[in-house]
Amino acid sequence: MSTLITATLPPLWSLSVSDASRHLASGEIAPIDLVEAYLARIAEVDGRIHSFIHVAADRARAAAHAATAARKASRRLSALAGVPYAVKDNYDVAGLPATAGSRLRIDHVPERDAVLVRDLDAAGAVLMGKLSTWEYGTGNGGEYFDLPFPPARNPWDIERFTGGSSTGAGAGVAAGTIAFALGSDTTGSVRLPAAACGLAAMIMTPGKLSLDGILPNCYSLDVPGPMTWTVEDLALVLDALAKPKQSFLCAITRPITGLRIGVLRDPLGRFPAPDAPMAQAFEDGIKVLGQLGARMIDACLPMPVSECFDVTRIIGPAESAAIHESELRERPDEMGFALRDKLMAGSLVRAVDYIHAQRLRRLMADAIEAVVRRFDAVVTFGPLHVAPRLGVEPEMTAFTVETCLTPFNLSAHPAMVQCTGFSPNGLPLSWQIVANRNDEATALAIAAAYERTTPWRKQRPKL
Amino acid sequence: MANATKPSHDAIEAFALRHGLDKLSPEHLARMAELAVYVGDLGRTLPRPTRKDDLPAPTFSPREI
Repeated sequence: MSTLITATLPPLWSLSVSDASRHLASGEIAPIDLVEAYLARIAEVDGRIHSFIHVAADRARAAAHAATAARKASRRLSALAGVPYAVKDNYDVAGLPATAGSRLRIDHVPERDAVLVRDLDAAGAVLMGKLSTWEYGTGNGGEYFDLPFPPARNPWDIERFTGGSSTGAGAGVAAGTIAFALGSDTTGSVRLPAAACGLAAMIMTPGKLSLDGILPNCYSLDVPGPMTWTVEDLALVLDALAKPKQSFLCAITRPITGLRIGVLRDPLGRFPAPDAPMAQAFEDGIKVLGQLGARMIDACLPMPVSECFDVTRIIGPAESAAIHESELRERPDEMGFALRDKLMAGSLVRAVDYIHAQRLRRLMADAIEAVVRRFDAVVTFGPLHVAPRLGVEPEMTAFTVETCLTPFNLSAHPAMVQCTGFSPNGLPLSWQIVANRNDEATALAIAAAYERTTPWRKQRPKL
Repeated sequence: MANATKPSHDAIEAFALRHGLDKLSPEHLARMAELAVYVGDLGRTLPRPTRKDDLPAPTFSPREI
């Protein structure tokens, strides 16, 4: 890269995926420039935010050189060719440790890649390493400081939590230690950290992104999800990963004029009202979409969000206890409090109650579907609170539990979060956009239209 | 239906041993006894679908080979 070009570009770690891709395609920068920029950024700030568990520097440099060679040899390359990314440490990558944030798997090195890693590798994206996670990609909202790696910290305020369980993915993309990341979500573990760290992230209709090679947490609810700085970046990543193939990049240029968008304001039941800045940003966002020509129509969930959460409190622990039964039997002392608590609780769930919970899930999914299908998409809150202070109860648990995320895990709708501004103390605000099943494109189009109209992508955390 | 009551140490230890959880420490078992109340109440108060033909949500999907 020439000195002249260096002077005209912002710091390379701060480029969006789409900007990085454009600069790579034009030859202004090379993949190795990006890799070195992220390695330098990690060296500069990751000691404060702990986004990475394992940095695979040599592997990344080799992949960058391979991407350069591929670019010289071919005219048709993926938009992600040469773009650095990282994965939550519950993803398998051949030859790299996959600890899932746990002492129990501290020496575990998989022999093959998760399918999503394989697909990104095929696209020429450059894996930089493995990202922090709550142990086994799960948690109860609390932070107990009893895991082998320090908890990731929110780059917008390092005294605050990133949201779990894809903690490092949230911290890393926001801080610019990585361009984009893959996480996993059972009841919010992609969308929560994305919301708390000011990112865009999506869970798709189940089955469109492969779970193969990701440590299971809950068979019936797990879904993977990418986390990015912009909606356009999200579309680029989904273009490379989603099956069947589809151009989300084209979809995000669609106008939203005339779309019927349901507005779900009230979580109902025992959950509290959203924090005031979150609520104000939500109302402001609705106005923006209305000004862009969408028809905003009040709607109501068919049941309190808290009832959806209760169903997952039966299903999640029971399935986790089955999945990780051997660890609870053989090595309970080696796991952290939160995982052990969940597995012990799951061991106590009666089969009868589990089956009733799964029956309720179907009824809830049908009822939510009946609401969502009346619209082209629905907007609602993601988390109801801004990022909590790390380790401070009950803020931590309230942030994790009191969300509007869970219903759409149960109902299998695509759902994304995006940044809707900042609180008076500089913390990201967010909302959730839910689309009809298999219509991720509409959610992305709405989010992209909103993003183009608002200034929230101009501001990065100061570290 | 009565609220779940906290099982005695002997009762929760017997439950744990019956289910192969023989490496839990006394502290773990004490915590498990507390969790038994929470889990019992959660299951007891979970609404029941009224129709017997309301099926559970599926978890099976064909494996990609």
